[in-house]
Amino acid sequence: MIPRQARRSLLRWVALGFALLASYGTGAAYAVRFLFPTRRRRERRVFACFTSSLPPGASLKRRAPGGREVLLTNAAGEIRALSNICPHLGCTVHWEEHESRFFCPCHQGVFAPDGIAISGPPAKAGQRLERFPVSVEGEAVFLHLTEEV
Amino acid sequence: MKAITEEVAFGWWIRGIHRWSSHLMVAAVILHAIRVFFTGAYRAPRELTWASGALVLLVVLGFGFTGYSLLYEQLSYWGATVAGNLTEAVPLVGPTLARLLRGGGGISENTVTRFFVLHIGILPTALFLLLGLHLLLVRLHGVSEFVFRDEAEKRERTFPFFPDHLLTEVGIGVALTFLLTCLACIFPPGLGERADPVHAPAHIKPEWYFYFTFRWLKWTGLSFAVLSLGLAAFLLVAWPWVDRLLSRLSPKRDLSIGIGLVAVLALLGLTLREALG
Amino acid sequence: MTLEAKKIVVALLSVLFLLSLLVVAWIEGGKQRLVPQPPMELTVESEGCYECHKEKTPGIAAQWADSRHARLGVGCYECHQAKEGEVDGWKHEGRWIATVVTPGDCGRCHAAIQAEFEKSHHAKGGQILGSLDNVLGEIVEGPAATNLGCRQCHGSKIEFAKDPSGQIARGNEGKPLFDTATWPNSGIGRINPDGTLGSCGACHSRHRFAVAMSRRPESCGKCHMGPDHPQAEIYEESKHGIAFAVAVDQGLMSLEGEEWIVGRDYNAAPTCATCHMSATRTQPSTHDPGERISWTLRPEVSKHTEDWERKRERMRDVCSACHTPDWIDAHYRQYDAVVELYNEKFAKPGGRIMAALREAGVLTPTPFDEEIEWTWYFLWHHEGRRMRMGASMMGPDYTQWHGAFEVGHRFYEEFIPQARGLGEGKPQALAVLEEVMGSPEHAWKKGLDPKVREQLSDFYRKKYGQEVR
Repeated sequence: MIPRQARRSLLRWVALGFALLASYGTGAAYAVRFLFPTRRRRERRVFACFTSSLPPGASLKRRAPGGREVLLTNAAGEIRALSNICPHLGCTVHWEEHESRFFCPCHQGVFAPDGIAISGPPAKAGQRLERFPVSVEGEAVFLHLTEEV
Repeated sequence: MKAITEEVAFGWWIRGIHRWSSHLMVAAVILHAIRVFFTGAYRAPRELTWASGALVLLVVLGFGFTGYSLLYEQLSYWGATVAGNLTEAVPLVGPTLARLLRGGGGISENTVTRFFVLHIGILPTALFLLLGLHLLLVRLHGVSEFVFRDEAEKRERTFPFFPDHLLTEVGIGVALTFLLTCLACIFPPGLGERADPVHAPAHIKPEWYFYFTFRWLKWTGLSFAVLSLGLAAFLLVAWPWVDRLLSRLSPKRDLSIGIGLVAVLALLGLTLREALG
Repeated sequence: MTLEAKKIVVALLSVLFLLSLLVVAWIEGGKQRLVPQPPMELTVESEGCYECHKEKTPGIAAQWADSRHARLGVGCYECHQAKEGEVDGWKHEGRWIATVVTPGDCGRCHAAIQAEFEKSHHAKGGQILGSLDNVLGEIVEGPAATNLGCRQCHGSKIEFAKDPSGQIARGNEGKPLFDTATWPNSGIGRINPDGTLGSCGACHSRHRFAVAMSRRPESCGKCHMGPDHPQAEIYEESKHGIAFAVAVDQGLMSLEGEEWIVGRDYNAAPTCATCHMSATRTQPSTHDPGERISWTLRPEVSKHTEDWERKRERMRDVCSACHTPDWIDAHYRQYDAVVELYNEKFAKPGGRIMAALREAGVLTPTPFDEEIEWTWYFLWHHEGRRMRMGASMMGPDYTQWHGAFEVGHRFYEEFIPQARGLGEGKPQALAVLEEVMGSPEHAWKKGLDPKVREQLSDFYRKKYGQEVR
């Protein structure tokens, strides 16, 4: 049996430790939140083009904020918007009109018009180009981008 | 800076604590210096302790100045401009020193990077070294205590570091962090207008602990102010030796107390004058 | 202090610290982070326009750069593009563009709004060719006044200058030259070269298109003001307008936001747009302000608008964001009573007298060549409208001193004496006049009831110590 005096003293130590831990723990949690600010994803709708400038079979390029490029294509009435960032290692793919394909010059990645990789390293990994949702309002085509803020 | 205050989670809180603790630090160092001065605690064998402490005070003021200027808002920008011109007025090395400090002919983005390096690299190193020396000397010579003539022989007054002293320190620490958080909540640090090198605002003011230099500058000429402030800083550091000289000149009366009183009152007067008008 | 006491003190301090940190979390939670959206990059076409025009016309380029369109990536070319060969188009720096951006251009994205607008009276504002007001402007006053006056509100029919062969005159790069009597013009009922009606810029102003601007009463006040329809002044005088002015001063007036629902997004005060166009908790916004108007206060005699009960219900729905049903009922009873008073006491009798004079052959078919035609026009077109409009929007001075009082003065002291003079020797016309003046509401002209006179003298004696005969 521990003497009462000692037991009380120990209990106070525990209470003190707990109070210190709680307060400084909270403070530290704030500091961690400060140092690693969580970035929220925000969707935004931006103007891409008018339907008249993207008839079936046509494609056009649009630059998004932050330097991303978006390739808009109209394949038989279906409007698609694809990112030009190769999912393999982040190079820039470009559209090859005559071959009807996207080509990544870094490691010879090839993507079909719908963005699915058909050859090269991205195909082996089963990757595809990022696709952005698109909406048509009146004659205007809008892109729905996600941004980190 | 705007991002920290307005966007990043808890940014305003961190900034508030940073800012308020800088104010408290300057205030604490100044009060400590005054206390030590008037108790004569700088006298032998503690001359070096005083000198290192005085240097700490200068370094802390340097922290305050660079930190404030790093805000790069209108008031601090023009504060830094004034300080830069003061530096330039130092005889002989002034212009070179000013160029070195500002990273160019005027305050610019380059100055910000230099001040940043001072604030987070050079000044902290200096502070650690000086504080280390200061504490070492304190340990060596012991804390000076009032010794009254009629007091009995000194008792041995040591107590264990753990848990007593540690608990006191922790208690003070918690109290201070609580106080700082309250201050940050009640008076959050704002952010003034962004620095505009073309238009000086109508009223420029430095942080309160530089009020006295600011007012001194208004009352005296530029080069006189610079020289006198430099002399004052030198005297501050070298006071134990100056004091020894003085006591040799007048062994009966403690001239230091009188001079110190005049100096403190003068500083207080200048500061108040600036603060009120 | 003993060690044990110290433990307690430190523990209490940490609890305090923890509490202060909770306050920090609370402040943090209430903080709004406005992370600005970087503007969407321009299309290749607009990029070209902007690069050059930010030097050539920096004002409009900067206004556009500050707009929501800019953030969305809608640039110069998107609105100014023209089809090849379009009547007002020309090839500028390699691309077909047009100067005038019409509702047809805006409607490519804002189709529903364009459709609402086209149904409105606003869209028909430019079709005033047959009106009395047009005779006044074009003939009695003069065309130059019409161009910068009437048509800057009503809208012009945009025409082009013609070369000697009758073709559209063209300048540099084949740019068509406007008939300067018709352009520049920002009237709301403009008739555009592409056949569309209206001008979105009338309320939204060009290039910045700030919705907060169109929601302010000043936007409507460009045209809805002055002696014949002082809605802006009436609003300013009303409790609604006072509340708005104060709310703006105190920073309480929120004019931003896509939906801008009264009673939800803002509460401080209504503007013109609130009641006539903007969304409520149950109603969508509309670009046809007529959808909520139950009386037409424009003509000589006010009539209910078509399907007016439904329209009044819509307006009552707006009122209900702030007012109870009883309050709204009572307001409409007061308002209806003023319109009926004007109609029955002055407008209908006046109209009968005018018709009788015309029938008697004492008035020529030419408007504004007899004094009584001006008198009658002032009565219904200026003063009568002020009286009715003042009542509709709760402007007391416009209802009475600028309204009913002037109507009364005009009627009894100008209109009736002039009619009597013209009717001399025309017994049928005089009979109508006497019949009107014989009705009980005009009987006071033949002498005030002695009891009422006695009350008057009593009042002045007691209140001002003044003797009135």
